[in-house]
Amino acid sequence: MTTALIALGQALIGGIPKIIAAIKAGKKYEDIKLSDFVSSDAVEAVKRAIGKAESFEDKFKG
Amino acid sequence: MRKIIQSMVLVSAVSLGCASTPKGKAIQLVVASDAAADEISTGYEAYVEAKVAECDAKLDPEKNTKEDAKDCLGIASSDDGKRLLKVMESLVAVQLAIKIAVECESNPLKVPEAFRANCIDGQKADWGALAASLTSVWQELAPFFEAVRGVTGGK
Repeated sequence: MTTALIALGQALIGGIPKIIAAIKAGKKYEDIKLSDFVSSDAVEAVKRAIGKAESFEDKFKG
Repeated sequence: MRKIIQSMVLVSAVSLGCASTPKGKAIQLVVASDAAADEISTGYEAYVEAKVAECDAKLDPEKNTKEDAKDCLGIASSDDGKRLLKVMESLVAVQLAIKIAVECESNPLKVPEAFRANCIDGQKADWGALAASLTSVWQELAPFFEAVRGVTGGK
């Protein structure tokens, strides 16, 4: 169990440097953004999808 | 992120022995929501494209309104897409809180100072509140997951 806990601690510390960098840059914990943690490709894919939906919606009257 | 989650599952399996506690539930929800978020982020664009094509065939810009278009798109509408981004942000925040909570209990001295306020008395975590927060986020994420699964076939 001790080994597993050490592995967890290492994984956690290794997994959050971006978040810590964001905190050091002045962001509050509550203000952490998706792009700080999730890959930019995934975020961009959702943003592209929003753009495609908006383009379609804009073909119609207000 | 997946490696972190796998480590959490490993520790939970060792230290809990069951998932009926708030902590066990929180860990289970992290795993489920993390997998769902991965699938949504890769499948949502294809889902929106399919819905746009479907609605393009159904609606006439000369006769229908923008509201009709949004209604037809449903969860693929731009409003819902923006909501998805916000839900994913919430998911990341709650997942992070849970990861910190795990560390509060396993290695509190290594919790970064900025996050120490998340540890009760320096080393306990409010697992009930964390599980409730994640359940709430999961409920918002679920409709997107179900919609995208129809396109990706659960891949």
